[in-house]
Amino acid sequence: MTGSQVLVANLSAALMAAAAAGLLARRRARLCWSFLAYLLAMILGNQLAAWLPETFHSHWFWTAKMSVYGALRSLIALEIALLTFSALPRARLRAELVLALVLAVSAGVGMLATASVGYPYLAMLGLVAPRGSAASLWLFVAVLAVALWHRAPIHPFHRSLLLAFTLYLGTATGLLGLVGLAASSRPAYLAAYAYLEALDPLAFAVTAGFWTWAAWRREPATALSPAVASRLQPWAAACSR
Amino acid sequence: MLTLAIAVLGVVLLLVLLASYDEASVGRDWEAILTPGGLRAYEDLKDRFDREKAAIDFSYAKAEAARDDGDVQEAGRLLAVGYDYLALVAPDRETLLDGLKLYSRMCAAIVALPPLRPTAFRLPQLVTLAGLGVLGHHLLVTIPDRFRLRLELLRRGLGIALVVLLRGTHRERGGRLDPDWARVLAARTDFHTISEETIESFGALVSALVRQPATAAALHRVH
Repeated sequence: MTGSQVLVANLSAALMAAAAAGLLARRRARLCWSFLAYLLAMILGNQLAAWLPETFHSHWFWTAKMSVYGALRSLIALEIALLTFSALPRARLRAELVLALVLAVSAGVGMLATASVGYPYLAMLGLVAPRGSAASLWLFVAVLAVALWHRAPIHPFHRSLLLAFTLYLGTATGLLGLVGLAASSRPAYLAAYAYLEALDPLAFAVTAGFWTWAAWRREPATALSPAVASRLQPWAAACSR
Repeated sequence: MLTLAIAVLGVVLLLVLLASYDEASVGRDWEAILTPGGLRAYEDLKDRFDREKAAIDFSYAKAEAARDDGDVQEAGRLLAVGYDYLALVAPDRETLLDGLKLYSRMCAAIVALPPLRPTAFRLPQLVTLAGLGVLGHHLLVTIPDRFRLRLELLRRGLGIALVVLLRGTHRERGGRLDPDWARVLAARTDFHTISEETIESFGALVSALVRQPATAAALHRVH
């Protein structure tokens, strides 16, 4: 890893640690436990690669951590759905069906991608990772679409998560997709990979900054009265304002 | 390339959905539902519809009486007054039906209502519409979907009844006002039928909302 890469990785880790601390200090971890797990996994995964590059800045580790991140993002979407629709059984059932459909299609497409490329790392880098990011995006789309259809109130913190993931995953998928497109020619692949290495950590650092702000900011005024919020979002009651 | 396109579509869709989420409006709707106001609104609406029905019937009865007395001009004028009043209350009913459709997505279970009966209507267009509704009712699987179909049919039926009333009331022959009495009276009767079905739909929705666990708890707390 280059010096600037280590610097950006450390900055992102510091921001994610601050976000995790904010979640705990403001008692917002209960709004999405899997997001806290995602932050901790990201800190661990990124710092292992930065501190012990000879062992962890490798293809197998990158493949493993991308798989874990993808699984945790799916859990985040599922947890947001379960919380948002906890008092609305019909909406919850619809959300579960839609999420299961998106996951099933993504899993099928992901397996097809792995089978079509001989070298696992290239398959992961150029096909599985961008498709996994796109699948995460569509999981969030599904949650939001069902919430809008049933007019379910979405907690402000969940909206912040959805917005941040949208912007970051959009950027990351675009960059990974470019690498996948350039995989057939070595010079083009190296150029695309250079863009990925330079821009993806920066985009992630900005996203981590946004998460830190979302974790620490004062609870914004909500349109729901306390009585209604306590019925529809009882899980948010104990959060610090 | 396809993955990129799907991802871009996902990003755009997510941003559009986030932008179209109106927290204040959602909050207002839930506030309205999770209070005992729903039951009061049902009684108020029934009273209002009864008052409007009486006003409409009064105007049309006067018009018929004037026609029977041979005063065609006065009969035409009174019919026009009746139509103007109907046209005045119709947008409220459309808004109400749209609102019911929206609220129907927010409750867990709605009482199963029968489809609109074609024999309850007199205008051929509405008989056909209700007949199609019966077909759609049996094709749709869930009760909320059937409920929304019913509301949509009522909304369209309202529009048809108004158009027939407008054309029938202002029909001219030989340069003179010559209302199509049969169609006007049929449309007025159908308008009342639509009102009664709207009230029934409203009642079903209110009872569904009241039975919703969150609502029941809120009501229990308030009473």
